Amino acid sequence: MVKLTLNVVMAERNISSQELAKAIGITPANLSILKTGKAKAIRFSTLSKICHVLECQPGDILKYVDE
Amino acid sequence: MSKWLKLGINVAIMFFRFGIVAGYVTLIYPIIYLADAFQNRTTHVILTSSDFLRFSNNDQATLGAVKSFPSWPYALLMALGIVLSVWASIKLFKALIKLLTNIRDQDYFSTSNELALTTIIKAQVAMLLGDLLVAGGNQLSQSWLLRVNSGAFSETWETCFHDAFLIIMLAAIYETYRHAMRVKAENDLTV
Repeated sequence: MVKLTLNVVMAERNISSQELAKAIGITPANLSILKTGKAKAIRFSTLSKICHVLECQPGDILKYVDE
Repeated sequence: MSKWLKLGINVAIMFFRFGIVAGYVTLIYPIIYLADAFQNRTTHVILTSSDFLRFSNNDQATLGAVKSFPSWPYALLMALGIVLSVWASIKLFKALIKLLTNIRDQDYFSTSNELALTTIIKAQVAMLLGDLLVAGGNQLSQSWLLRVNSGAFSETWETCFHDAFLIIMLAAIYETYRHAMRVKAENDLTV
């Protein structure tokens, strides 16, 4: 399965959830869904904004792990 | 939601509420059937009531058929069938009221709607069982006394077929709604 490692990148960039949510234009509730791994899908537009704000590649926040 | 649709839903809810009250009143019928059987009046009622029609003027039940008519099985089939059908109708009306209230309040995707749909299907299954019993009772009066019930609770085997068809339709609607719920949940979890 694909897991989001957003927490790790956020910690490396020293950015809070509130700041990131505001910067990428999503609600803190939706960012929480992403961080807790409850999300079923992520839009390309959201992924692009996250990568833009965190200055990273999609591969830095998405990891494939065997179930 | 348009004003007319809201008004229509409110009127439908009002009629279903009347239906529930009428359902409770109808529960007197099983008592009448059992009382007739207890007083040994079942065959007399069937042969003289205007609710029971003859096939033709030439068709008359023989004295042997009248004497051997199974009054108690007939009364039990009718009483149990009516109780089951009426109970199912009341459950169905209550679930429909819940469903329509949610639609009126624009609460389209909720577990309460899913639950109401499940109740409607279960009630329809119970109604099929009830109608099978009543159809069996009516078959007895038809076969023994050559009288066809045309009054209240005149269900026949054809009614049971309609009930079964309705169950299939309701199950299809339920499955589609469940799929829509899954799609909605997935959509809600897409960021």
